[in-house]
Amino acid sequence: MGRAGAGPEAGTVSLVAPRPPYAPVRGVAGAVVATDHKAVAARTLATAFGFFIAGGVIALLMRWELATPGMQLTSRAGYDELFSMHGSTMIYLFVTPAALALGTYLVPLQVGAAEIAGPRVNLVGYWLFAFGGLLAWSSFLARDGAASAAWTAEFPMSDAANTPGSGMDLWIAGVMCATTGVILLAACQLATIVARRAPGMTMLRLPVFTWTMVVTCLMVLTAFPSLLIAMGGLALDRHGVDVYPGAGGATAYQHLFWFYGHPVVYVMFFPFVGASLEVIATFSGRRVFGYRGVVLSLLAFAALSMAVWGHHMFTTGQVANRYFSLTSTMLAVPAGMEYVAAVGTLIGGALRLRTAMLFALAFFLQFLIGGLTGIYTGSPPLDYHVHDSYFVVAHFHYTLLAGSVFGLFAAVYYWWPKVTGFRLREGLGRLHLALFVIGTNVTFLPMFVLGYDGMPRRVANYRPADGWTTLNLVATGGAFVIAVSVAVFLLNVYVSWLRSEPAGPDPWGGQTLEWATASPPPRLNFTAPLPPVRSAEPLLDLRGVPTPEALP
Amino acid sequence: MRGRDAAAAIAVWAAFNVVLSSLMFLFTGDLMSHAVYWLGVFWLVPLIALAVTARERATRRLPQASGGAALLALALALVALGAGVGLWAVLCGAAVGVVAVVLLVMERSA
Repeated sequence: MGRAGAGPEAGTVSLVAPRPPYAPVRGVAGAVVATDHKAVAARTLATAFGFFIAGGVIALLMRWELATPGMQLTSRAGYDELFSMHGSTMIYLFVTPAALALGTYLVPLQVGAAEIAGPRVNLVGYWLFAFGGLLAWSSFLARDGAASAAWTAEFPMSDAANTPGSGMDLWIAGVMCATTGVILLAACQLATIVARRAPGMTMLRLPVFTWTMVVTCLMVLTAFPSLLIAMGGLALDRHGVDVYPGAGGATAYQHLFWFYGHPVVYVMFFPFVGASLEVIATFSGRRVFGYRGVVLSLLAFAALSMAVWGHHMFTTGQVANRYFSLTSTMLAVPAGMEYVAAVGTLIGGALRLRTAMLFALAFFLQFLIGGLTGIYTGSPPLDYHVHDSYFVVAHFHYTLLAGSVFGLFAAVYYWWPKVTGFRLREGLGRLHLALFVIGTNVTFLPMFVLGYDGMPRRVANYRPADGWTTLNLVATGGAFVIAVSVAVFLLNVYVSWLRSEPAGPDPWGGQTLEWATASPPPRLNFTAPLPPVRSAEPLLDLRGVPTPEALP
Repeated sequence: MRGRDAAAAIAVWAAFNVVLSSLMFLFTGDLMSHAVYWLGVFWLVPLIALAVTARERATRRLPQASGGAALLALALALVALGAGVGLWAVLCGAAVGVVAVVLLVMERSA
């Protein structure tokens, strides 16, 4: 049993076969303790998707409450719990772990490794994330209700005096567990990229998706410990230790939180940029345009995103607004490079508009709205006007839902045949896309207007005289269209599984190493010798497509 | 595959961050802002060192399953649960943690 590289630079790494006590464990026990990175990734993605559904149900309840003036469904305190748990679920338990799950599955395959580095650590990471999610959601069972201090747990709103009860404590414990789990998942991926690459796979031959995971993992390892420190301090503060005293304490908490809280936005973005670029390249029949420029811009982009956390604190008056405005605006440069790469790849390509490709194109278009309004909120005078309003809600939902989740679905439709061995239906996929595009825009475009008109975020009610009823009603309708689109996706999965069409190892004409093995891949990923790795797209090399360097 | 070129990539990223965190000195003397950023950047130094020395072992044993790893996560979650429900959960977590460590040692030495 082993993996052998092939070609002039090939070497061999022998893997000792597992001994009998560690032979494959099947059934429920296998689902709990199997260390195969593909199984762990599938579990992570499935668990994250479960939390997406749960967080989505909360979103529908919130939109129902806001559809018309007056209190319809819940109390003001209940609404505080709903928006806190919605945001927490979507960020800590859905998009971030889903982004890492893609890497857990694909990075070892793309770099030609037989297994992820630290498979046991990887498994601990998954279970910490899953248990963390359950802990956070168990706060609904607490006598004083679930956490209600927003996903940011802003201090002193989250201290023992303002948010009493064990619900908040459970939420803190859950967030810390889930975040630790994500850190472990990222560490294993980075270690795999550092030390488990196949012969010939230099850093400048890594597929673009893997490069986005490099910068994602670096950001996780650098920024996420800050959240653990902030939450640990908050837990201690709630139990009598004066960790964040006075006004300075509140500012210190914000620094610690947002040093995590802004990079996490990019952790939820970069993997989907990489996935979408690969999808566009495959369905254009071309290599990613400007590969080296993309790599450099990713490194610059990720570094800049570490230096912008203060723009969340403009209105506190406690940060250097000019510095954080400068760095926030500079983000437009590397972001523009990613768009240049996408457009450059499309130009001259033989486009095949499959569902995955359409989702990838929608990702870039939808995210553009989130990105451009980010420049707006990155300017302190404009941010002072829209701070804590529905404008900000619209902005970040355009980056996270209308942006990243489109990228996630592009990845799901693209790699589904690799993971399961069968394809998803194209017709249902297109219906899913159409409803998702309509739903997200109908939901979130009105929020820009509402915010600009002064509707504050995190309110359970408004007066008829405010004039916000129509737009809120429209947004609520859009949210239900999103729910229908997700139902169509689930139907697609069911129908495609019921009447599965075998996909074969490479149904799309892929470019990277994961398409050189069976679908689904075997336990040690590759049974045949790997193709020689002479570029970031070794399968295109096999088909004789010249690299840009080889062109006259 | 040795990790030197990966270490170089991490170093480039660290250099970008050093430039950006140094640039902040031109705008503010706020200790908290500098401390948060520089602590993050300093952490990259051991990471780069790890990457430089990383290399794939000629042979290694892959675990197919690890009950110890799953139990360790459960133990940590129980300890965290203690923050909300009391000491009994912490004690349960500690007990499960001991079992998990024993299992992990047995798995490693099997």
